[in-house]
Amino acid sequence: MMDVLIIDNSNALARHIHGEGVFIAVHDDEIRALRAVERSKPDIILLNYTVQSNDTAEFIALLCQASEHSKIVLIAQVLTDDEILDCLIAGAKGFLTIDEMPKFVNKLLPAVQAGEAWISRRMVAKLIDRLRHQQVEYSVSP
Amino acid sequence: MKENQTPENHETQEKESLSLQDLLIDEKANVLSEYLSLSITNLGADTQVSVTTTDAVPTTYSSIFYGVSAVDLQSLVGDVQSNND
Repeated sequence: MMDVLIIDNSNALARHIHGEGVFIAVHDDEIRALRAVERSKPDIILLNYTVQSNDTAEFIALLCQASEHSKIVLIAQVLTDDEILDCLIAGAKGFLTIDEMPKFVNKLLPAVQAGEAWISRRMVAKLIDRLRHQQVEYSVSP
Repeated sequence: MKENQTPENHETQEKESLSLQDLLIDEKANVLSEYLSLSITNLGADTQVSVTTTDAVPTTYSSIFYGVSAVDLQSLVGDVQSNND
């Protein structure tokens, strides 16, 4: 059983989620959603960027405080790398574009529930590159 | 380079001669899917990073980064962003 709470003011996300054992709750108001997260501690939160727009990273931090157990995935049309990074730093565990919801969301849910992050190949490359730089610094340090 | 790459396939085994970073960066290789699931495991003084493709037959590639410790996604992302500034 997987509890998924969707915070979405466009009614565009829930219809793409299929599969047995997935319980879905949808909120279009951020205050009610925050209270619901605090109360129900869902396994996964799918957050549409349009709900809070430029304040999304701060809202993600609030959601993390409300339920440390919940794993938050950001859903948006198009975001810059910096906007995505801000949300990951705030506590999000993944990012997916709305257009790619039908193709990927039902693979994303079990992966994120298992504790993995879900990010683009380009973003993973950046992270790996950073790790390799840290490793080089380690290998040349006295 | 003290990087140890190990491809692990959930259902089939494929040998890869490219490095994990080459796979991630080389768009022409087209070996990996556009999205990947990523796990970071702290091994004490070292860190293991595993990326799994999101294809019909998922494949997991793992690398161990020696001397890089106590890394989680948030701290790593923060480090990347601060280096971009």
